[in-house]
Amino acid sequence: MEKAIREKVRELLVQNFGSKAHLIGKLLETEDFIKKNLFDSFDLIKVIAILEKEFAVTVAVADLANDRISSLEKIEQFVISKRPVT
Amino acid sequence: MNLSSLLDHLDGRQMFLTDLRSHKSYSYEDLRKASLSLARLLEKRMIAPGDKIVYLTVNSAFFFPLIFACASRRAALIPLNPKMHTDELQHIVKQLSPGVIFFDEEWLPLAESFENSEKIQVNSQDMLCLAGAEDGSYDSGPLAGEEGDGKAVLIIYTSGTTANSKGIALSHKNLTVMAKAFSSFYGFQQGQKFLSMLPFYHINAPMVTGLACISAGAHVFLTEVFGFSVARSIWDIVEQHKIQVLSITPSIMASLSDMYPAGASKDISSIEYALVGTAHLKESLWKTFEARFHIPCFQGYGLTETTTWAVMTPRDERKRYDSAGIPVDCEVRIGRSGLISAEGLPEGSGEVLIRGDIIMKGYWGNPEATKAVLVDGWLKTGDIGFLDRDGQLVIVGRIKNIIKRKGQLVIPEDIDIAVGRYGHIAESCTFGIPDDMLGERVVTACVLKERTPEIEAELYDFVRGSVSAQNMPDQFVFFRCLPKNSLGKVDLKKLREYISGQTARDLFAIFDKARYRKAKTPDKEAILKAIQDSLIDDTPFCLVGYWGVGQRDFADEHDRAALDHLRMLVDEANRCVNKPWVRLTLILADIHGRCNLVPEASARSYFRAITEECRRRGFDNIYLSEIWAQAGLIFDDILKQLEDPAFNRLWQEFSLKDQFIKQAERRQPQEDSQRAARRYYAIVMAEREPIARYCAGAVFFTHNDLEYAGVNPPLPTIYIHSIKSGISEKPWFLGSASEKGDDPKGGVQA
Repeated sequence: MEKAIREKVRELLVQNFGSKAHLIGKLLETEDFIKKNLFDSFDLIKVIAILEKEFAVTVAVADLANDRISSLEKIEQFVISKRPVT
Repeated sequence: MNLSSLLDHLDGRQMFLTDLRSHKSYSYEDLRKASLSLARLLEKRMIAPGDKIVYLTVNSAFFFPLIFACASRRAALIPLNPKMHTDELQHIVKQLSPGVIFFDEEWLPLAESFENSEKIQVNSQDMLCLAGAEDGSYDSGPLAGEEGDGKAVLIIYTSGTTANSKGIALSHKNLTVMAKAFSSFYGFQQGQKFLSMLPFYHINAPMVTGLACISAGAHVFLTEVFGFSVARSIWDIVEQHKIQVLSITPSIMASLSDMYPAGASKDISSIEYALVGTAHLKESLWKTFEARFHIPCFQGYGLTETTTWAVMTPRDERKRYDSAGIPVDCEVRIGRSGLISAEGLPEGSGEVLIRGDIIMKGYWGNPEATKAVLVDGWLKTGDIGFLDRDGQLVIVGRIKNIIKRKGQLVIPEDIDIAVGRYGHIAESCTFGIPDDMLGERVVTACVLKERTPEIEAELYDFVRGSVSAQNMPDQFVFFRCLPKNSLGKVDLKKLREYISGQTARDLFAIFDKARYRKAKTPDKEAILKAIQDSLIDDTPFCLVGYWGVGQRDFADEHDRAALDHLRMLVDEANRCVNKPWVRLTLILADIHGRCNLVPEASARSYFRAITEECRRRGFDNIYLSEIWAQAGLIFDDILKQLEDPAFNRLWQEFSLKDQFIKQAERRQPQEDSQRAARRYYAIVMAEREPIARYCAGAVFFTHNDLEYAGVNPPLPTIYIHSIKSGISEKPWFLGSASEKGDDPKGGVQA
């Protein structure tokens, strides 16, 4: 399941950030894409909008401030922790 | 004229600013007093006319009293982006040699790195933080403002790299005229509520939600600079404070549209309109945003050199989505000189020239650069446009290879210098591509001496370490070689069209012409991608298709006509890119002939003739049996499947079963048509995947209908006529075996 979320996120980012697709494709799972300047503040809003739509989660300002949306691995942990139990 | 005169005649009891971070509000009287107090502080620091004051800030309430204090002392304020590359900042500050450097508290370590200037820390969220700090009194009395007129009072730096940053010096007159023009054109009112969320180191926020608001006595609500936090809370802010005007950018419009697909989550009916700072607001984004949030938007066109917008979209029936608007308090004319070529541009196009009181004083300390753009008072904008019959300005392009990313200028040569320092780079060329969100995105096309994923990633890190974040290319595209013009220079027009996808769309349009197109392909995106990949990798575009065999053992006029039709298609595509680009390969379907019981000697003879016809036209061919051999497929083994119950279930469910049987009746009347059809089905299903693997990256062409997609190799496919427009019969089934020209009805099988 974990692998599936990570890969799904990567796939969504590749689809939505066409011009950066080749960089996202090579991104290591633990690599911090904010520190790497891969996404600027506007891109991050787009990333969050994608996560909220695809995984039915809500991202709070504090989640971003607490560095919970900064790598594929962290996004996965975040999605798992916030996902509604079905 | 002195900028500080804007504060005259204002009702001091009116609210000026509410800082939504500190929840502090200030009246216009507070602004006047704080300005006076700061002017006195500067006076005590011996700040004289012409001196420079630097302020390291992202956005701040303190900015306003500081600019009026500078105006009053006839000094110049330079707000600098603290996030700029350190080398660039050091270079600018050294050149300016400022009397005082003010800085927001979070930038203390950075401020300390500047030598030879006094540094004063301020609280960005407290407009009055230094008021009365010197002598304990809270100043009162008039704000002395001697004649400032042409003196620089605000210098805005465009980003570049070290040597290329330009400080655009704006005078008292520039700022005062623009503030009044803006406010009166859009009818800003006393007490009207504006939301300010753009950075202060560009001209937009200090002017639109600053000086223009002040000239009208409006109320500014200041948030942190737009990002996720503001995006999340914006509708709450609007609802709570009854915000009436937003000042935004296309990036903000796109972000809000992403975050709120169903529209605003609160009551935002207080919003009257939004002002969009941009060079060109894309019509689709403009309309989507307006429809989703019910906020009328107005864009303007200008540069920092024109103290913001020289041309504005009117708030009446003259508003148009295809124009930047009408000139306001300035003259605009279209120049002819300097245009490299007006080819392909609308009639009357030329360089946009602007003259008036809003045109900058010049680039600070750079008379050569000033002279290059200011000629007889006219500013050469470098943008290409035309004025239409209604006097509206339409921008159609750019002369200079300068990129405007998020309203900031990016100098491509600087990036190329940084990229060129990386050892594996053979050649690079940086330029801008129109982008909905960014205005333009920065693209670096490069050729590597050796290309590996590690080198590509390392290049990214290398460049990131040498240029500031706002200059970082958004995209690196790796070419095998860059397209060049006849003089051997990089052909930027072609590069732009390759990368923007325009060339790919033009090429696709050829395949999609009525002359060729039999059915609309569902694989358009995949085909565009294949085209794009081949252009960028400078590899041939591979087009493959079956060529079957009928009863003839020789090639006739039907074959030649169909091959010529294909040649015409290939020639058209090659002409579009001006090189032999399409590599067409026919898969000579000997296996299908065997399946359809065509005598082996006859098939061999026919394919030999077709191979010769291909050679004459520059086409490649490969026998299907070779692909079978490579994939380890064995004809007799495949036929054994016919006895398999699982295969029979598939056959029974096959949607084209009846068509296959009918075709078999026509093709092999001497045989049980059920058996012949099932055999053919087994064959094509077995070879689909192996063919797709063998031809990976290619686009498949077929003369069949769309419903046959399931039996074609799983490759992006175009559906084209065979002999000419409207005729799709397979040529190998046409014509008579005895050369008598008795055309039987065409079939669909290869």
